[in-house]
Amino acid sequence: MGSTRLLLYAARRLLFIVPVMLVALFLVFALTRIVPGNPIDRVAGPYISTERRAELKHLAYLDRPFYEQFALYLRDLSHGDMGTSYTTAQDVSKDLRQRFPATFELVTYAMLFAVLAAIPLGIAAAIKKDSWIDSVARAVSVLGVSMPIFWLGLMLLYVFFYYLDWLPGPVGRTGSATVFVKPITGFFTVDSLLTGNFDLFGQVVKALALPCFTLGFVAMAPIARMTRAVMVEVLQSDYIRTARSLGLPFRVVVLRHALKNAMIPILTIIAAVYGYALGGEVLVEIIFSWPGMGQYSYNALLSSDFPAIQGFVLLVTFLYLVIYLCLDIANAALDPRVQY
Amino acid sequence: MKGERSRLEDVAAWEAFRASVTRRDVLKYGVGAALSFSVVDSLLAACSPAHGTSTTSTSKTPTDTLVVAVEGDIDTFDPAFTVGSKPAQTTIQNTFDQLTQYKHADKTVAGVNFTGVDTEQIDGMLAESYQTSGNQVIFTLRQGLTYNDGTPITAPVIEQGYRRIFEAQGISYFLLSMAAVPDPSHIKALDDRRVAITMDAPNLLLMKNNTMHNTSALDIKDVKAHATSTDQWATDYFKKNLAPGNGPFMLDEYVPGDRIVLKANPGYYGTKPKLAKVIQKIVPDAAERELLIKSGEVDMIMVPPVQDLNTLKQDSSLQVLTFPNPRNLFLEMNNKMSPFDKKAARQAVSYAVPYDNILKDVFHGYAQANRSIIGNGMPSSDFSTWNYNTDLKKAADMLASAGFAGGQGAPPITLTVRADWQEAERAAVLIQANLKQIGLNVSIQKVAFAPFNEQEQGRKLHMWIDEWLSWVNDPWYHMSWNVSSTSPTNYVSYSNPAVDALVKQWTLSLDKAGRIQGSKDAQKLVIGDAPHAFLVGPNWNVVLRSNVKGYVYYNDELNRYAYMYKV
Repeated sequence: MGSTRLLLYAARRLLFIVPVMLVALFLVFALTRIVPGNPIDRVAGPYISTERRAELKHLAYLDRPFYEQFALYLRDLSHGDMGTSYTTAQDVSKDLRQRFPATFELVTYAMLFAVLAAIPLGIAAAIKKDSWIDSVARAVSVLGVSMPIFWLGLMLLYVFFYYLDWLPGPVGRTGSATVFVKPITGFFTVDSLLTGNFDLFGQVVKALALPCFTLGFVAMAPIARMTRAVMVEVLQSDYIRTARSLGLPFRVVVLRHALKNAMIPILTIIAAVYGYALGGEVLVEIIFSWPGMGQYSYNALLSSDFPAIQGFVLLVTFLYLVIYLCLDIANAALDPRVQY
Repeated sequence: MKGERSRLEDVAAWEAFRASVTRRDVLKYGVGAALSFSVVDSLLAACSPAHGTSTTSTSKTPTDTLVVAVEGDIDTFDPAFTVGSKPAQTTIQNTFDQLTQYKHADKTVAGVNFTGVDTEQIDGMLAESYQTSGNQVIFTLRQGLTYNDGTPITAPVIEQGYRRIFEAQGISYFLLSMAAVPDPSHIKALDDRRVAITMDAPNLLLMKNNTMHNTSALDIKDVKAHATSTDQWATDYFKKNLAPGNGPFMLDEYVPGDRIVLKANPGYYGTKPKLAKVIQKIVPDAAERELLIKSGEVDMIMVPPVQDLNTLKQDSSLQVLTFPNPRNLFLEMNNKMSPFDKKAARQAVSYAVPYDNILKDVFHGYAQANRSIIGNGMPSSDFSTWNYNTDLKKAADMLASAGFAGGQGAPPITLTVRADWQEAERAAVLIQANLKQIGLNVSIQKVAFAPFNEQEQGRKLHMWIDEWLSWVNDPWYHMSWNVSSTSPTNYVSYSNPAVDALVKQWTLSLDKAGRIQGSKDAQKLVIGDAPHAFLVGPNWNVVLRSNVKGYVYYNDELNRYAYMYKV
């Protein structure tokens, strides 16, 4: 019964995704057409005839009123056609498919690092309140929030690549490798292992280290801060005091009883940060020449590449909504008080 | 006595200390000490840079592989359309040969010696020879030529390849029609090995324009295989797919946004390239490209930050190559907008520009003074009639003679620069300061590439900075694009019937001496009209690792990897 209700709830939430995406799409569609810049001029260049220029505009529906352009875009979208990018001359869906694994791999490892570092740090800071470890946690939180991500990335490059020469420079996903493999999953760490190319695996891991740390460090800050705040509150609650007075081992009290109750807000912040990182790691991709969606969207913005911008926003909105759906389901599983 | 007691006390203290220290403590403090040493060691290492300017680094790439950090991604793989992306043009240049090419030559421009090309001397490429007779050039193809998929390259294939150039109407169509070859009927296969190109009027431009990568002929079999009912010449397909080529290299792998990998073409008819592989890594940021070449992670970079070139020269593991060329950096003035619709106002601006400061402070000497529409290094370049040395008094007088004394009555001026172009922004600030002194209020506007393009092509900009380098080193090619009133790229809307008449008279002329003199006459007129202020002529700069050899400078600034090798 419970699982049926959960499925119904998930289905309802999935349906809710459609109107949200429509609103997001409408906004980005309107904004791209308000700002100056015309993709046809870039494609056409100065050399082609006025007639051909007009024909290109017509083919891209850019000679039609805004509402008609939007309706035609929705019609094409309903057939799975996200349009053709003006900068890459490829289907936007294909562009995004090619670039998504790079972003997903980077953000996933960065989040893994952030979560594995931030949660223990937050817990330790809450247990040893006002101790040196609490000061470290606070310092990490303040630095993570206040340090500009591009500055951190450049400094890390300067120290670990330029001065120490421990890690590769900003040359994308394969570092110093000169032999490559055909993508299987798109996750190069996985693909290099699947093909037994351990040299490439080493290069890929090294290439991931700095961008992951840059992004992960910034993502750590809110997670560590939230973990500490919630754990401090939970550790002072009556049921924890009772558990401790009953003689339960401290480790069990913290990890099994306190952390479980603190996990709901922590998961919420992780989901928010994960969604933000998927759509907002543009600067990291630019600094490290990472061929992901961030760099793609940045170039699309500079070139007024309308279909590419729309496709990117559509995908990121969808990912955000899916992450929040998963979060709600996880919350329901963790907290029996949640009704759905 | 005192000594004995002390010794006993010492022994007792030592025994007490030994009793208090456990094995666990030894381990704990030992690890701590080791960690401290390693941290200190790292900090010390950090204080002595691995790739500082005073030391040298070693190349990290294999000898048979050239790793190049390139500035951007591919925009199209279609030779007929490549204009905007140097990596795309370079990829096509290295994977396709043309009928003919320029001869290599040792050159000296502005005191710099280098291996370049003599743009007046044409050698065979796919064609083993050519013969000019009247308005016709007959090219004889080498025997046994094939595309890298094995398809034979015959004269009818070349004819069809050129037919596509006209039908697709890309940049190459312009190049041929400018040389009086207006349609595909002018290109005929005479037999299997001979192709004739007929000009409406015999001229010197055809053989120059025809060396460019844009005139690469695609295999018609491949074109037909990818044509659709609405796209007979498969232009959509070849935007994203490189056709089988016939050049020294072939495309091995293209990962959008990351790398373009070329490998040597084993079936190449010419001298086999010494490099087995060329990896072009896409690194858009100039400072990062600089870090990569310094560390030995890549072997070659182009467009390095000019302010760092003098420092890079100190590094013995690097070679800094700088090529003075005829590139114009223009301060553009819209000749249709006030106050620049008055010649005297444009001349006033020309007098006010701080040329020397731009040369020294913005380009750090890696540029040449530019005093004419035809820059240094292009035949007929003549700076003798230029007299706009920076003189604010004269500038103010000229502005007054235009009816805007002290800037009174002149509208506020917007000087637009592309947001991604630091040198232009720095030059704009210097220009703004000088124009303020003669009473012109200038605000600087930074815009992204797309809106800049749109406004420039739409002739909507008021004043802006842009540059132009002609791929073909010919004064009339250059002037046809820049000062002819009917040119699609005459963005300042400059119009002088006398200049137009000269362009018409000399562009297609065979009279070499007359073309040179005509060009000097036109330059004098353009300098007098001051449609633009000629800021400087920025050099083309390349940084190579010291073990990379064989770089040849071509006027289109595209790398020819076939001549390059590593030691």
